[in-house]
Amino acid sequence: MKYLLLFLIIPSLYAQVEIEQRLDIIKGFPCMKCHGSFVNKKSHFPLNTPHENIKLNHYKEINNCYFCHDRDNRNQLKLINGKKIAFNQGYKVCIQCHGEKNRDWKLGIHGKQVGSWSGKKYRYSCISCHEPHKPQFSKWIADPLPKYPWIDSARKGGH
Amino acid sequence: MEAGKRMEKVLEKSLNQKVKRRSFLKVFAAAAATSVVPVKEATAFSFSKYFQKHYKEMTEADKKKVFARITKEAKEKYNTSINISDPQAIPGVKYAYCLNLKACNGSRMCVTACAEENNIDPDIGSYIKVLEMPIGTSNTERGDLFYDEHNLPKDGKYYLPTQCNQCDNAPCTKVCPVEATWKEKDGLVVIDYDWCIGCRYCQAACPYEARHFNFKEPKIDKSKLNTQQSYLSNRVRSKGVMEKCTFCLHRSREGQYPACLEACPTGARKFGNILDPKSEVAQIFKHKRVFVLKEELNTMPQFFYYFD
Repeated sequence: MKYLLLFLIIPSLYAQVEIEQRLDIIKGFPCMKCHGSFVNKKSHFPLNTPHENIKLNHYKEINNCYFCHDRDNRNQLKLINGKKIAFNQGYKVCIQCHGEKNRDWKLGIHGKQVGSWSGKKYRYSCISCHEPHKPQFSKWIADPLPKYPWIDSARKGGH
Repeated sequence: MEAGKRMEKVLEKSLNQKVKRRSFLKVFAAAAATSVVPVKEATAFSFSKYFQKHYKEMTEADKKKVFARITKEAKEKYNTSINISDPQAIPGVKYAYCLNLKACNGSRMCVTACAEENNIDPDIGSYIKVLEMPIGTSNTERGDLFYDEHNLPKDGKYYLPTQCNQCDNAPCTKVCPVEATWKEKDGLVVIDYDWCIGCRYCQAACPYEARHFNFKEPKIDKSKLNTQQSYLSNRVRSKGVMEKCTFCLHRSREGQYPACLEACPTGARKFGNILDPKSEVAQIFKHKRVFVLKEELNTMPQFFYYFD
């Protein structure tokens, strides 16, 4: 089931937009395979393997994993109003706070969207770029400049 | 002594023999004829290319012959089969490109993707130039092309990718003496590479440095050659002609996004039909404040920038 790509037709758009499915990328799903047999009560860091790399630095008021994760069923997330969310609709957790970005994302303005400008598009989800636990971007290294023949004289400030 | 007799006397002295005017002229004419015969070299003379019509005057039969010639030349030069397409402008479409300057981090992945997609000679590099600009100005004279590639984006700077803006009031199409470059119905400014005479007037006229000249025969790596080519966009050019960004005409007229958009890691680039109110570019016009470069020159570019 998780290998099938779901087609999500958003009513405001005429074209079909396919949203990146988290379950196609995530490893170790379903979570309850491990968390069903044992319930790890601690919510402070560092976590056990395989989550030892996770550091929570999203917003200073959020210091508890169970703000987004469902304590009783680790296969799903939860909203502030208590509603449960599947991992494939994980963006619904983000849009609780990021409303303006949600409007832009739904229009295809925010984030990356590939495919066809006149037809079907493939839209990347929030977490394909933004790591939900630590969303601050690290510094990037750019591709090198093309090797223009005039580059050496231009760098020195020559004509 | 009259001139003819004087000539004869001079020649007699230098050649040490009696020269007859008729025999001298015979030898001279033969020497002149042999020096004019074309020599076989890398850019061989081709009658069909010399007598080729302007793209806008070609019939379907003419186009077939021309594409066959180009395919044959590519096979001889690169030993690869290429595919020359000729997509026409889609009616009811006018392309616009929007770029989110808040999202661009100066990665130059668009620059690299453009070079690979369009079979560009390494000396020209790419159709896209990314400038590191100080925050607070859109004056490209203050941009730095040679910025440090590490720790991007830098504080106090923003990154401005520039390429052909497909201007509605393009100065380049006005100055071309042979009309080798013109604006198509869907907004793209294109070049017929076989009609261009290489005078570079268009390069002088363009305020955005978007037009590039082939000073030498382009040298494309055979393994990196993009075989999906089209007559007006990414086919391999020859020495002495101009080239420029065409918004990947061979892709966009088939409904695909340009290569630079697909390569951008942050999703800063948006492309589409400005006449369609539901397209991303029309929505950007609705919700964001867009600006263009060098607006005071009245070129009416179709490449719009905005800060999110």
